[in-house]
Amino acid sequence: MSLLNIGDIMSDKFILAKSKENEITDSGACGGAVSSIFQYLLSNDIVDGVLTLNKGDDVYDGVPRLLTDASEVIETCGSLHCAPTMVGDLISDYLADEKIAVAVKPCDAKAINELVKRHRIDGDKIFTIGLNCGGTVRPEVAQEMIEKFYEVDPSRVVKEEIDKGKFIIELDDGEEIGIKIDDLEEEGYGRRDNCQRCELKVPRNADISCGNWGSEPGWTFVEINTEKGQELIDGAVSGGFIETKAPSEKAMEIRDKVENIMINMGKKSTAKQLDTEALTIEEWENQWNKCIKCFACRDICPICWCNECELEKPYFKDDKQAPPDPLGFHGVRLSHMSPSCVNCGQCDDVCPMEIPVSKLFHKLQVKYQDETGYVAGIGDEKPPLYSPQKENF
Amino acid sequence: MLDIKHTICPSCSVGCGLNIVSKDGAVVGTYPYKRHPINEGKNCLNGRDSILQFEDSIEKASFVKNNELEESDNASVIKAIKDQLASIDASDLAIICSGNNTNEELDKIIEFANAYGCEKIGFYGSNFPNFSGELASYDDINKASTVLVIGDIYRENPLLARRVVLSKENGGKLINIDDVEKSITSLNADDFIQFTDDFNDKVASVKDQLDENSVIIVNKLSSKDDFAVIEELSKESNAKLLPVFNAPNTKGAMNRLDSLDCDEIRNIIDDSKVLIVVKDNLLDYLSEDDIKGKSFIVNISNEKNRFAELSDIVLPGKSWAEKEGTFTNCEGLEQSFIISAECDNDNLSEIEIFDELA
Repeated sequence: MSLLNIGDIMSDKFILAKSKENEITDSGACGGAVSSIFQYLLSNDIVDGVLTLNKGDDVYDGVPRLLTDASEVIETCGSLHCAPTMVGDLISDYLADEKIAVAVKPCDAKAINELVKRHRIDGDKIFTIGLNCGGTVRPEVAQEMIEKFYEVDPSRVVKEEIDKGKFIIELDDGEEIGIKIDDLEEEGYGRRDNCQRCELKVPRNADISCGNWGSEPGWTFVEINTEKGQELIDGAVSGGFIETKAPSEKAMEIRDKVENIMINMGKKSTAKQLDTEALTIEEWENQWNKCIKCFACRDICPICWCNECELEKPYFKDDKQAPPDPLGFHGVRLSHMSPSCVNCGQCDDVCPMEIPVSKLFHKLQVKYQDETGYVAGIGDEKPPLYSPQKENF
Repeated sequence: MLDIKHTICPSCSVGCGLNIVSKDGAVVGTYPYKRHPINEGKNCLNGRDSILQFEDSIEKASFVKNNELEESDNASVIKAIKDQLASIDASDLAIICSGNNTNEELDKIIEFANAYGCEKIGFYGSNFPNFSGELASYDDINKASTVLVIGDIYRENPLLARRVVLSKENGGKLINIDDVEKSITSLNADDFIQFTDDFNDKVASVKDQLDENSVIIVNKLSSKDDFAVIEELSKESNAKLLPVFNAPNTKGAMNRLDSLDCDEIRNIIDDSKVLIVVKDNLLDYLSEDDIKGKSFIVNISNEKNRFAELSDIVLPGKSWAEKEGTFTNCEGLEQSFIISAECDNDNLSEIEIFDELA
């Protein structure tokens, strides 16, 4: 994807947008611009499908859904912070041949970026519509937390939002309750560990980044990041799907302020989780003893894609009655993947043995970034080990 | 068209949630079902690999001649089964169901057996007898002060082992009894006790370490008598008991049918002229000599295996992803699932097959 130069990022790259369809502004998040952009893309056959998140059984259940008709978009409106999904691998595994648009969190956009670099996704065939993200909460943790701290039946929650440092729930009778995320996280609840460590809150690695930070009521704040993103907005405006206006200076300031607060929280959590409270060598050994080599961490990693994995070759076969040699399994994975770890946390989420795999991968990525300047999932550059720069190592 | 739908994992009796990814009518992958309260999106390799059955399965109703399947059609095969059933007495029919059947299928098969007058009906329970006592819940494991595991649940039922991991994080103690020299469960246990021919003594030796805050999990038994020993330990120590099975609906089958061991199944086969086996591979626990040439075998399963070659008729039935129904997991929770993949075939579901045979 061709990114706009920093010099291009002037005020016209920041807009407020809203849907021109009342049904969408009523049900969509903050103005419904994202939904209307999807409608524009589908109605004009610019894409074959739109990959987005569908509410399943309740607000804690998000299921990726491919929409192929503009009329379906309305069914998927709204935010789902308790659905920590990942779409990078879905696209590379099943939709690589199709022209699609996709709603992405920053970590989704990072994964897609790494997969484009590995030629697993064709960057020309995909529109990435970024959604600002304050983090996600595991569905079971969310329900337990709502019962314990909000003192309400989790099944009564019809909507949730992360805003102004609070996790806010809306109940079936319209009542809203918000509790500071910091307070929840101090008690071991709140966002997933990797989300707490995340420092990319506005997905500038997507074609556009959308959200409510700094927006006026009924409007979506949109940052245009690429030329493709600009064309997308221009097309949606001229097609009559959205209307736009310039954000006020105050709106820009508020957005910057919110983003910086979230980034600082991320930095603080990174230092805490990966450094001051990091597991000791002995604690890691106990973690590796639980490993059953089920490959869940490998299989879920959006970046890890080899059709024939070396780890399944006979020379890596382990005694099935014992955990794998950590160096021969996790060590090999670390050497292959950690430079490109996008801190999506999926490996933690799916590990049956509750091994906090991502903390090691993220820690190494941070070290790698410090040494090489390579930030996984951002820009067109390949990790140095995959580029001509490898001669320097 | 890409589609992702919730289902229940068919690989063991824990009852994990699983999302099935299908594209243009074919199952292509799995995706974490994070909303599911039992496993929160975590699935073991067996669970994720459960879709491999779509890669190489029996696709058509078939007659078996000289150990080779000859594809036919549903109507011809159903007629052949009906002809067989019409030629025997009710006492000559035996039906072996399995923990792979849904509760609805089991009810339908029982209804068929009752109408036909067939009394020889049951399923292979892997040496677990019918057990209707109080069961430990998964939350009981999380909160347990001591968990006694008999078998290797870290390897075989990882999403139950996860509960033990959480219990240990809360200060709980893990005792493991097994006949193997080592296993991942034994390596993670605070105490590992290996038994040889002294199972009863070794089980009795841990009695003083168990109380009402303890849970006994058992996933491996060499005989039904061994279960009686464990049940006795549970009663004497007040520890809660959780038998874990290797099929998704063994508990549902146990609630409806007799749990049979190998000898009982051999006897049934010896006494029958027609044997209907529904979603089970008898060679997992019997020898070829136990079944060869003894009965006319109707095998309802899409699994390509040696047992299919030794059968007389094979009807693929439907895979779990192609049908709806309920499974009862090992803690007794009945979970319903919907059709998660609309596959392109004309196979009859197990319920349709028994409707046709009725």
